[in-house]
Amino acid sequence: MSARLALLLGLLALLPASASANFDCVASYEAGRYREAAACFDALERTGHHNGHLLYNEGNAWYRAGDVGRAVLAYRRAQLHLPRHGDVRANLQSARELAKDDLAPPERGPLARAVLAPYDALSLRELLLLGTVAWLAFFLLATVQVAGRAAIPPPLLAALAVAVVLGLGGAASRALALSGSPDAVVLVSEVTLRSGRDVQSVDLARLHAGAEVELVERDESWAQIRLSSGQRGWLPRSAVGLVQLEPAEPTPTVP
Amino acid sequence: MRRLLPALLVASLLLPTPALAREKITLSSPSPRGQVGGTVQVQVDVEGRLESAVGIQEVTGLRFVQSLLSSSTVQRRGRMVTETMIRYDVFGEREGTFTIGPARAVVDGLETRSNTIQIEFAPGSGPPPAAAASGAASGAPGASGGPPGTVAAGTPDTQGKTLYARASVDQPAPFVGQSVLYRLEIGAAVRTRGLGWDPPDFTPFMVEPGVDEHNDEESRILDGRRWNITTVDVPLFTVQPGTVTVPATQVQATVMDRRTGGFGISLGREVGVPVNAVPISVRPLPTAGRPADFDGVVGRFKLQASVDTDELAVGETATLTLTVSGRGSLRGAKIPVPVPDSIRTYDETPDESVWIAKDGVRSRSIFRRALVPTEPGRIQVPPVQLAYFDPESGNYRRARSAPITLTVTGEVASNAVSRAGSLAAAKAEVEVLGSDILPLHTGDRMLGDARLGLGSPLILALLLLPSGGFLGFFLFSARRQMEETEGGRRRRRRRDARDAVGEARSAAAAGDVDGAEGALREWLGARLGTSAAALTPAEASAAALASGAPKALAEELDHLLESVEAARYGGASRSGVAEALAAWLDKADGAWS
Repeated sequence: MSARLALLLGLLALLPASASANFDCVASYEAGRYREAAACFDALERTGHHNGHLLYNEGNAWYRAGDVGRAVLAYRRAQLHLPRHGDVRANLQSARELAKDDLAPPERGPLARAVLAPYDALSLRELLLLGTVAWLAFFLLATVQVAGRAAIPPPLLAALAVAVVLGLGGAASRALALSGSPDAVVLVSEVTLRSGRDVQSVDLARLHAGAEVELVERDESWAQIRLSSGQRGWLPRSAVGLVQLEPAEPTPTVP
Repeated sequence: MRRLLPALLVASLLLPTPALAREKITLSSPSPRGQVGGTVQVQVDVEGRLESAVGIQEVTGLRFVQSLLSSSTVQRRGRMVTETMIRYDVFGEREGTFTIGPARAVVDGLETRSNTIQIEFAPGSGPPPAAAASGAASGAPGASGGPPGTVAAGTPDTQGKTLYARASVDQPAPFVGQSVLYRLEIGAAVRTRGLGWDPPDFTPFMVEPGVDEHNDEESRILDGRRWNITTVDVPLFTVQPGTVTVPATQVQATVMDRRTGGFGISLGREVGVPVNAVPISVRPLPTAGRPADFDGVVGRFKLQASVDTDELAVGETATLTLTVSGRGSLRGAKIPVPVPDSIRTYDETPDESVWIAKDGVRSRSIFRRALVPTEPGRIQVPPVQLAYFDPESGNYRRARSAPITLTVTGEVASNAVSRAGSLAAAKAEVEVLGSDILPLHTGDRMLGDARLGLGSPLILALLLLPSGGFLGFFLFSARRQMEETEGGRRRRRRRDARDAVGEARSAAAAGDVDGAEGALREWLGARLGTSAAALTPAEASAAALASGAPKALAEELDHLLESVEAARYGGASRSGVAEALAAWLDKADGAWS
């Protein structure tokens, strides 16, 4: 064995396990084993690596594997971490174009979108950090003010107070929304939206993989969703994946 | 047995696994329960190249009607795969639970079979639906969704009928890319109203865009009766090889009977006339003799080229007009114009028209290009060519235009080329060749936990510490401010006075005269609001009296301080002085308000 190869193998052996798993996932992807790569990225996430880049890569793997639903879900979850990243936005758009259903994803009205643009542009982590730093600065300056060391301009304190509200309030609101009624993506190739929680109820619509819906409520077996048109109905819970920070049920392994 | 084992192992590796073959074709039903007289949908999904018709064994008590056939090409496991979906409406003629399948077909060269499914028909309330229109109106045999393969041709069967409908195509075996006319012919020997039809699903054919259905009406004598014949032509465009059946459909009409409802008003009777399915075998284009520049154009065309002026100066514009016309579709046709480097070209969006003629679909496309020469001289534009496949002869051909010669005068142009005329702003649109997603994010940014919650210890510390610190500092400042007020000073003095009493008692217990005197003076100072350390006995007594102390108390104070001075400076006895001072303090603390 040449000295260089031995050195490389030695270095690889020193790498933490997750770093070498990182290489495995990318290697599978580049070899064209896309489902295997997607399962690998998913497994990496379950070992504790939760970030937008990993989810973006998982989305790419599902896209190449032809699984539109899981690709859209992975990209949407990546957006929770990287809301402004152009790559995530572009690939999500590409995945959405493959979806069969002509269904607009759930989003706010134009006025709410304009008003809440700064809030939407920040991830949960960024909101929390913004709020915390603003909180720290606010109380630091307030202490200086109370101690009479310097006169702090009121607009500065007011701006910091606003930043605290935006940051901490926004983070709390975002965390509540993600845990309570997150958005969802249809994962199966076709599923029937029904009027009730049983297969005998009226068929309302047929949805396909990649359709983005809003989750209204859920129980062990069923999920009530709302389409962008306002129509509500019930789907088997296993037919949808939730757009949330935590990974959901384990995805199927490579056949 | 030992000798057989290796052979068995090799055989098991070489033989195709039945499970793999079965996965290629799947039978399912989205809603497997229905009522007698109603329908249940059954769907066959095929993944791979379907090389035969899909067969499902007949089941007594059930009637299968194919309602949808669709085929698409999708990306799976990084490669393109053909998926075919066939949907059947299964009519239940009696109650019970039925096993459907397996469905069989040849997929990717392998005999493949699907799973089986069970469907159930519960007792219903009505009779099974009628198979065809009632009374004298009935369609061609094998219609109403029966087995495909019935192609209507020649004189229609009108014996005993007053209405008929039949479908056909002008090209039952077209090539890929060839235009096909689907013709629906409806004949009526009686007066009708509200003639309409449900167009079938033509997938995988594409309906030629920009061309409306062509309707025609005529009268004909058939079997001695006068018939009004309506034909509807739909132009289709074939996109992939294989045998596809345009499914059966139905024509609806209101037949005007001679019956009247009184007052001479004719009553109408709604009838449905089934239309037969039409199989079409699309042939692949031959590879032998295919020109390198062949772009998929199928038909028979001619090409003409002309310029608006063949004498111009450098920098001026001549408009080259290429007209391609003929039988077939020019969908997506591109015509490269090989011009010398000394001519700049600017394209305009082609003018395209497609229409249905008696002999089928015809097209005409007019391409205009601005030619701007940059050098003088005689410049020849070579013949423009279009390679196409002629389905009638089964050969590839070329349509050619005549060469064009331009006489260009003037001097060599600079890099800035003048653009004139109506094509002044003619820039070619960017030709989009495809789309793809952006690549992976590699490296260490895939690792790590980016989540941060309100429960994180770091966040909690950053939230609690500054607020706690600020609160503590605020309370401290507030207390200090309170102490600067009159009330605060009073409270401080009372505190000092209490401390002094305690000190005096301690000093008295220890027999410490100086300590007891110091505590007394401190107490006095706290009560008076000024230092009493330097007051003489008389001054201290006067000050106490002035501050509201009882006279006896003030006089006793004078006497006590005199005795302290006598003990300190005059050598008098110290015994009992400290105790007396402490006793006076106790008395004064209670009596002096």
